[in-house]
Amino acid sequence: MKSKILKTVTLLSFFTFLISCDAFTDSEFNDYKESVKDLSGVWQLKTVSRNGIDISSTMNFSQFHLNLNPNGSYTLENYLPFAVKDNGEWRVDDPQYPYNLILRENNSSEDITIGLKYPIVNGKRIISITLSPGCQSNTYVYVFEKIDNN
Amino acid sequence: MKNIFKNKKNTRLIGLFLTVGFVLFLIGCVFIDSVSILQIQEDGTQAPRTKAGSVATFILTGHINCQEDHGDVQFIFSFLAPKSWNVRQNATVTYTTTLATNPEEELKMSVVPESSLPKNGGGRTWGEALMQEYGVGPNVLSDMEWVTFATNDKWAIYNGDKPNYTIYLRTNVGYQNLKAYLGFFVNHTDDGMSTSADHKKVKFSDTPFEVYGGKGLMIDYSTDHFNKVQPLASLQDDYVTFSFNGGVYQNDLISCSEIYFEGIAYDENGEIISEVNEKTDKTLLHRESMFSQVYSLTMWPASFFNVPQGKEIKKIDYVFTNKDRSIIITQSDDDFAINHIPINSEKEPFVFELLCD
Repeated sequence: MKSKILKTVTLLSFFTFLISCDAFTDSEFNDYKESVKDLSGVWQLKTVSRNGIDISSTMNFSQFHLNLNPNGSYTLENYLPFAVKDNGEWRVDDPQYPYNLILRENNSSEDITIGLKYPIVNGKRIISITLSPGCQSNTYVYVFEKIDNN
Repeated sequence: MKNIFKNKKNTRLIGLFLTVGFVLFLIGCVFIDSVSILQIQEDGTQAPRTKAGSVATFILTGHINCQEDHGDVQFIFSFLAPKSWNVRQNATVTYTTTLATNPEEELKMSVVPESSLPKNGGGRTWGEALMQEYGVGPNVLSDMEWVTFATNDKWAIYNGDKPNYTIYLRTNVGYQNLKAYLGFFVNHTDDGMSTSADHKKVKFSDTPFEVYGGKGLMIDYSTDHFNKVQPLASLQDDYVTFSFNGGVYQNDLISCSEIYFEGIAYDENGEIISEVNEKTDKTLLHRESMFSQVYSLTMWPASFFNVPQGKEIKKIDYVFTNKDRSIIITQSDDDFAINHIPINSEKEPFVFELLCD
């Protein structure tokens, strides 16, 4: 009698063990994809460094806006030296991992590719662009902050 | 034995002994004996100057007094020069050492890439660490860079070794006329910019080195002037900072409450593009800090001088003045203050040429 009970308990334990070892199937985890980075919006020039030295306080840079419109066009407001001079069209090299901002001026067939950093600083998404609009030996880093369209 | 450590006096003595022993163990190791920036001139004499576009040779001699063992160490040499020399691209560096089998043989050194950081540089590159530690030495303009080279060979050097070494740097000095103090630095990869001064040494040339017969006005990195422009290599689409250095020589302008910039922009034919002499916020200089007598104005020249499409600024004549123009500081005032050149009735303005190498 005792032996039957023992066998039954053992079998039950074995099946319980098998059930409990079911493979982890988290469909959300398997389907995870890096989100698309939406760069469209109005970007205000916040800081400028020249050859590694911050010169933001020496001029009023904040008037310069880069408007990346959702329809793929861009406009420049209160122009300051930049990689392009005219308005045109924009896109990024990879919507999920944008490393380059690609601009094409109106009436031009040439793409201008700008190296891009896209981190979150103090809870805000920023765009950091390195460029040399004047002498090639001078390197500027422009940091833009997205401003709300109210 | 325990009693020895229990006794406070003994503990102090042991501590002192260990500290002295530790310091003695670390003491060494690298010394600069001399640097030579003299070049052979056309008349056969030697002088610290060379013609623009020519190759100059700079020689550093030193010795090592080694009091510890090092294996697989590379010796480091860094050179401070104007950026326009482009030392990273143009220089070749060799050295001889009595550590080598043939002490006469010139062995090679190569540029240390930016990705190879000094061991104790706190995450900075060699150039950044050197600039933070020594700046541009006795120079007053900052458009200079430290470029670092390492021996291609790795060396084993042992306690008691006392080798001599000589480093030769040969580089084209470019076409910009200039005058600057040059900097020389030695170290090794095992130390890598540590805080100790024993394993690294720096020396600046006793006199400025001059490049002549090239293009542009003479840029003097070595002496304070009333005026300063940054970056020195600029075009009209750069941001250019014009500074009035009011504390370096006696002048009346520094006591004025407002100091202004006046300028005339010229094109490549010497024709005036525009003149800006208004006394507004546009031309007002701002004091850089409460602790300095430097007043600056940063501008985008193309916009500041309202340059029309297709035109390009090649030269800017400028002066610093007060609101009613009763006091004007010019190149003539600078020449008088530094070289005691008498001021004529017609004062000469400062001149900035927009050049890019």
